[in-house]
Amino acid sequence: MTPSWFARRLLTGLLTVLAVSVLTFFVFSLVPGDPAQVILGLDASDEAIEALRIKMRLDLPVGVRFFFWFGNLLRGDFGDSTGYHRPVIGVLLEAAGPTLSITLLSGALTLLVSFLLGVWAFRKPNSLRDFLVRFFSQTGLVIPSFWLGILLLLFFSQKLGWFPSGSYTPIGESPGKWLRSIFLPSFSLMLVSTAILTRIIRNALLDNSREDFVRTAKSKGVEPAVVLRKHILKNAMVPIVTVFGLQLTSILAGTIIIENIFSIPGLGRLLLTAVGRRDLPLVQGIVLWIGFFTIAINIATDILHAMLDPRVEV
Amino acid sequence: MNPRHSRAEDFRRATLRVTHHKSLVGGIVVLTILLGMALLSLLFTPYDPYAIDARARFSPPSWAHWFGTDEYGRDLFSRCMVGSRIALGVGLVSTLIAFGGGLFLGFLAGMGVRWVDELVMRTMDGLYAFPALLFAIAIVSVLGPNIFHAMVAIGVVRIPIFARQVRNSTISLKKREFVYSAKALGVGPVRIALVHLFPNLFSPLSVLVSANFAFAILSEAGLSYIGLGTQPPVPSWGRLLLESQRFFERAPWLVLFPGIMIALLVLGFSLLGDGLRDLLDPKD
Repeated sequence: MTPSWFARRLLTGLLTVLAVSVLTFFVFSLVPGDPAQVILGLDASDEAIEALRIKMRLDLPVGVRFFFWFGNLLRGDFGDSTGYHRPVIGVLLEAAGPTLSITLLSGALTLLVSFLLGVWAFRKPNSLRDFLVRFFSQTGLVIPSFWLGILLLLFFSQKLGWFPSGSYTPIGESPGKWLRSIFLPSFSLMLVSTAILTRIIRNALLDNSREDFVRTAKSKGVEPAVVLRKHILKNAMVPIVTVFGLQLTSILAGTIIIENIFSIPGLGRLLLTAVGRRDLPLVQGIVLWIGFFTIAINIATDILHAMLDPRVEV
Repeated sequence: MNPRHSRAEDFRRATLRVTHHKSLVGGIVVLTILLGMALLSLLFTPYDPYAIDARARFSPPSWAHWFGTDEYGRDLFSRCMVGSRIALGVGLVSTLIAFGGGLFLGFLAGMGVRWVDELVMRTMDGLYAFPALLFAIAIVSVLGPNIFHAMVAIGVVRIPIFARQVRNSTISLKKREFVYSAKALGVGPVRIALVHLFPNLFSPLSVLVSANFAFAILSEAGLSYIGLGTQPPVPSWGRLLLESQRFFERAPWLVLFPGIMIALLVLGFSLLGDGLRDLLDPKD
């Protein structure tokens, strides 16, 4: 990974941040009617509306308004929530913990289970276990994660009472309770990702095990375990990292619905509350944040990719 | 084409090539059944999907009601039939949007000068950074929850995937010999685009189309489940799950069947996509 490649990747990342901001700004400027009127309600006086219009810079052209708005974003000012009557950023940060917890746990479970299943299947290709793993990959892919979430909630939480429902415990309070409060949502989100990643791991390992350098290593008398670790796995990591990065972004997106099923007070639940109250500044803030997070994951994936495979400097 | 082969022989060989791919056949079978259900629901359903029947409340699955009935005694199978129509309709409309937009923008980027390419593709990167559901929620929160806005949002957010494929194929096709020869023969740019480039773009796109249907159906189900997609009384599968969840203890079938329908339709498109990929790319 050369410094110039790194700088270029960061620059395109920043351009993507800009593009996400422009698109978000554009979507939220499609609001029918006068935003000042919407915020103040129908009974507001003309003077109050006019004052707010000037405060919100609605008297300026849309292009100019974007730069004021974007400048504020860069300073961490996402505007004020109309439902909570305080800055969006504060409301956002309070809800970020649960979402981050679920995303990380679900990502970790995905990695763990996919590697176990993928390597297990790879050791005996075209055997019964390989067939079972491939069957799991195909079925796991088509089960909607929110449906799985509903079934898990109804069965394990409401019927059997094994897991709490509708509560979240921060990790600082009790790690054990934290794990129990986010296990079912994380598990529901990991299934699809695991189905995809398992298939990728199995195929990447198989493809690389047929390479010349593996045959050479084996004929030199290198231990099979070392061949797997140092020769096959190391080269197979490139597609695995790329696909895992993609899966992590879709897990993050999946938290939106999953949090609402399990009543976890994260960004997804906050988003729906905000939509219900038509608290558009808050909706906009959450949309931007999840968008920025996704970009950060993509950049991290590309950097890891370039570190693993110096040939690919895209 | 070899002149010794008759038409019937060609057809037989083509069929053989298709039937050789198990997942393609599986996908076509599943999709034909569900498409049949959707089309049939326009003319006929076993019961009126909206008719309330107080005596039949919470009937478990039986010969009379294959999927059982809900809290108003409405027949779940009939409602699921209507749901398949909605799912396929949403898939079709949003895929058309993603396909059309992607074809136009991707072709523009692929054929255009450097700055056009950069501008289009960076905007596409920005759009691609949005999780589809998030973008759909943003649109719906601004314009109001209804199925039309949801379809447009789900379609728009997938434009980048088609645009990238079209751009890359266009750029690699531009450098192929048959395009150079056509240019050397004095063929105009419009004719080159229409006759030489377009037809070659479509086969890799068919795999994307299939994947996009699966994706759109899942997104619509999710969106309707959180109340931002189809609105009552329309029985989309996601909506059915939303409404029946609280009766799980009493009537678990109400939660099971709509979910199975979603999974089946997604399975159909997933198999079709895998099959098409094998068929079009014999290397793999």
